[in-house]
Order: sequence, then C-alpha cells, then structure tokens
Amino acid sequence: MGDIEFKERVKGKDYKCKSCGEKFKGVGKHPICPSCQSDDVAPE
Amino acid sequence: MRYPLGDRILLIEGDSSFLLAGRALSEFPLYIETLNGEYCETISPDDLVVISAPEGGDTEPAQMLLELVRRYRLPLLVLPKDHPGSKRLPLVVSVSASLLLSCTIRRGTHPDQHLLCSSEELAGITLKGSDGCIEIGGVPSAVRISYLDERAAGVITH
Repeated sequence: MGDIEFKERVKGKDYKCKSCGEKFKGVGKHPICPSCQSDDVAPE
Repeated sequence: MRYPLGDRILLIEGDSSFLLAGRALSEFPLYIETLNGEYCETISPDDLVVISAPEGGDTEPAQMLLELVRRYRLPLLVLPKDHPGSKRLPLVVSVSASLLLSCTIRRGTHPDQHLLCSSEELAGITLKGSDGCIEIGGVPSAVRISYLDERAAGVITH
C-alpha cells in the first residue's frame, strides 16, 4: 500500500485562554479553551 | 445525495468494508493526541463523526466508537508514520465538516481530519455535514446506503 506524503500536516496555533489562563494548541477557525470551554482566547 | 441525519447514524456499505457517519450533535473541543503534542479542534454540531472499518466486520463496535467520540468526547490518538500498530487497527475515526475517503494512506497515522483511511471499494467517497444532513458524493454503484437503525427496512436507493 502506498502512502501519500503531505507537506501540510496539522499546524496548530498557540492560544491562551483569557478566562482561565490555559495554554493550548488550537486548529480550526473557532478555537475554544479545552479546559473551561470559553471562546475568549487569544493567539500567543 | 443528501440524507437527513438528526441524531441517526448512516451506514455506507461495500462488499467487504463499511463506514458509519453521524453528526457530532453538539459543540465541543476535540483533542487530537500526537507524538508531537496535543491539538484542540472546536467541533460544531453539524460536523461529521465518521468511523471507517476497512476490513468490515460487525457494525456494533463501530457504533460504540462513534458514540464514545461524539457523546463522551473520547480524544483521537494519532500514530506516527510506520508505527507497527497501524496494521492492527480495525476501526479508524475522523471528525470534520467534510472529508474524503482514501485507500492510499496508512491507518491511524493522519492527524488531518479531512482525510480518512478506507478500503479501495469505498475510496473517493466524499462526505459533508450541513443543516442536520449529510451530503455524500462519489459513491460507486455497488455501494449500499442505509440508516443503521432501519437496516431491516431496506436500503435507500440513490
């Protein structure tokens, strides 16, 4: 079985939650905090 | 082809493999665990949770896995390329607004949620979730589609 080589792997952006301070890598357009579910997050 | 889903599960069957597809039902953070770290992706209610069984088998464990992800928010684990465990996975999962089935990737090794490993007979099928429904494209003529809870009622023609 062959395998596709992807140049683009998952590239998460670093975010910090303004509500609880959790730092996380988010993917997608609408990041929410994995700890408190707040959408008040900012890129680091 | 467009099928209403609600909280039901669609079964897409070939002769020796199958897929289950259901809506995520709610917004939640999906954790994707890789060798390089943890990623968090926000899942929307209309996103699809798709289970692929490239070698077929019973649909019951696939249904359990689908519910573990969408109702109990089980994180997804991604194996590194060439990991020996890849060939032992009877079921693989993808959660995405839209995705493509491919038989040219290795099971469980792709963190990109828009692509899911399938058998050759289901490769090329596209799935997209929107407005409580699922849109399916690229379906080979031999593939059968039915709702999992209505299998006795027969196959949906497409």
